[in-house]
Amino acid sequence: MASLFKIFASLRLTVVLLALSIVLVFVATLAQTQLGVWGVHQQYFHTFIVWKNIKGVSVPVFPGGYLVGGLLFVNLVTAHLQRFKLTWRKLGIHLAHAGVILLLLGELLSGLWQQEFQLKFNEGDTKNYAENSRDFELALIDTTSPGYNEVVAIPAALLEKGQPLPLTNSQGQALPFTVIPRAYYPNADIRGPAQQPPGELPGSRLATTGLGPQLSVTPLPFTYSDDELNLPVASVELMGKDHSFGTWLVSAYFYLAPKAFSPQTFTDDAGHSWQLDLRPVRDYEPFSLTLIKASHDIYPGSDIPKNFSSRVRLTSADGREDSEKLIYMNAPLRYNGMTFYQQQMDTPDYKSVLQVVRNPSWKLPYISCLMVAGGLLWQFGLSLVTFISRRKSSAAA
Amino acid sequence: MLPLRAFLPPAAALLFLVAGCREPKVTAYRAPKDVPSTVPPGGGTAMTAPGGGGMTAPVPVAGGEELAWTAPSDWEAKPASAMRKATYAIHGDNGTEAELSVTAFPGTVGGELANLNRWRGQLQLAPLPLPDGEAAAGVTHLDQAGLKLTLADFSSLPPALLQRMLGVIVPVGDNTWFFKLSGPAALLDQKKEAFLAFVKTIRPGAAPVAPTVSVIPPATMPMASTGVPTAQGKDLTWTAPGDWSAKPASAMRKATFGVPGDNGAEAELSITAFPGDVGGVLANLNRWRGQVQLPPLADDSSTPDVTRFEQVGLKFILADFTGAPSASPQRILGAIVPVGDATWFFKLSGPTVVIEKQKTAFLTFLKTVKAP
Repeated sequence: MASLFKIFASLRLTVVLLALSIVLVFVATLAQTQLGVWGVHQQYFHTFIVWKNIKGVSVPVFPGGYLVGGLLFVNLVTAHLQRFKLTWRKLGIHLAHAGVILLLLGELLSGLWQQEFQLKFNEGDTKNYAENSRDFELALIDTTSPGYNEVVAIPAALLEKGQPLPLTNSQGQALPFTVIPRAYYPNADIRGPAQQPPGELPGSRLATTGLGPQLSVTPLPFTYSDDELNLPVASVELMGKDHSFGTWLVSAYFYLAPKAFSPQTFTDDAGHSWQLDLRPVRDYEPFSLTLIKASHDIYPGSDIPKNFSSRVRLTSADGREDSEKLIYMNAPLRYNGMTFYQQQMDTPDYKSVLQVVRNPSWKLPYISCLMVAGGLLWQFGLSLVTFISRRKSSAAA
Repeated sequence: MLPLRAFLPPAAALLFLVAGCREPKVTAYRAPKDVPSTVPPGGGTAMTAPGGGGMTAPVPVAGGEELAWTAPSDWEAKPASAMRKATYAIHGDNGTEAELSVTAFPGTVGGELANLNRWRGQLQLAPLPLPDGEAAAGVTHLDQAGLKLTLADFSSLPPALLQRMLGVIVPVGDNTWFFKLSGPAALLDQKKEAFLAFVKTIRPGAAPVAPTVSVIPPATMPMASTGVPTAQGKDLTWTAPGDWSAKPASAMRKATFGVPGDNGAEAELSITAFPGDVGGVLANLNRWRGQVQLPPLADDSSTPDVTRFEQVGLKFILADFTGAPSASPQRILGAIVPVGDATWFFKLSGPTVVIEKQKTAFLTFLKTVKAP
């Protein structure tokens, strides 16, 4: 155990790990041209191992960001514990090292806690939820009550596992059916009857009711690109106590192009109306934003954007907050632990798109940088003072 | 015994390991019902100036020579906007919808190839590699009514959303007109024939009057709008020819007659009356002109299509408007008669051939119209 402690505390390990992280950042930067920022994050940094697909087989090729960062963290902590001596002379070094440890810890916490969403609206729209355009969920919505929807949301990852899912609603009552995932495609194209090239999956094999039987599905490779969207498709059977409510084909495309498809609905034995949506994961907030005015200014006589801004009304559910805010480039709105950045304007469907980031640990990098700077200042300042006082004493002698 | 600090590094390593494993969980909650989003300007498609790269800058809209067309009756005309000459919503099954926008801009707007590539860009398709004039997949050229039309038919490729676009570019004088039908590919598959038939009706002339510009048409108002007051007071009387079939009167109409032509064709005579001058004679004449897709008149005294006569104390303003040439040309023969505080409208409308046959009978009929 003591020898293991020694290995983890060794300076050699630090050098090796720093060299590995330089290589990792370099390779990932090159890969960014093909994968985009999000793809690089997923495949190089938020993973223990970087996998490479060689002739259809996934082969581990390099330690990932979690492994290198994690070992560096352990190395720093161990070395610190081994050599820790609280003296004024070493205070700067301790502070700088603690700053680096905090930086690594901050990255870990960001990876764990940070969530990114989009809030898309048109002028006059009020939204109290944001959507995650990377992760999807199957929403089973009981629309019976005129005042609210009773929603049960199943993350796409669970549909991929294919296990039957007995479910309960928010009131703890069991749903009248069990969801049995039959097939899941993380990205697939949906085609109409007039456009079916041979070799596609006919919807009649994936669904017995709803929109599915008339459509066909073409599975596509998962995309990591920043400007492409994965449109998952799933086939799910809703199995009641003694009979099936049918096998349904659900696609994110149905949800994102509501004008092209009518919602898929059915009624259960108790007369409850249900709607099925495969949609971006929603994050409901205890407040709502209303888009009052979206402005898209350009420099006169050109197409060059001068300013994007959204004037919004922020209303909290508890009535404590009701005010107008202006969100524009480099001036995000921070509220309730979330930050709203102006992301896009005038998309085909929405006038304004805000990027919504929730990261409880967003202050840690700033604090750790201050600690490192403070530690270095202390250390170099101390050396300078020692140097000057030594020169003075030698001059006096 | 190991010191406590020896356990710290493994604990830290465990922390990082935990970071890699996040279990997805089913969530259940009550949420307010979704409110459908308001339609963005441009009716669901980004209002893009040709060559403008998605900007909503003020763009000069073409004046000058106009085009005319005849849209199928099941296409829903939407209010015109400052940017658009016309907008139609085309409905499919299950609530699906495609949109046809008609725009016109001064100049060549960057040329044909640039505009075709702008449309391709909207479907995330690669630009056409060919210079103007050369054959390209999905692009055809057509000469019609003295106009040179460029037809484009582009479909988006997976994994983009499955969209299709049928478009026509028409240079007219110093301007360029764009007819763009875009929507779900499945719907456009069904509507392509109708769109091509519509394209055949594109001709030089005045654009059909957009719904926002037209005066409220009392005679053609749907029956649901019973809020419009009809004229009170003494009624006019008339004697209709024997071969005109009287149809049931309605709340809005004083009388309706089916006026027969050859081969089962039929025109309709509607007789209505409203309080006041209903916007004046010119507005009502222009309303009728709009119904047969004729441009509005600046004044009603300088056209041979409008004549005036007087009989037994009643003033008649007689209009004869023949619609622009089309597959089924329409004509309106109408008389506006102010009576006291009200205005009466006698409108015979229908296929040109029927109106031509019945014109003498209609003029004779008007002679029988008398004040009580």
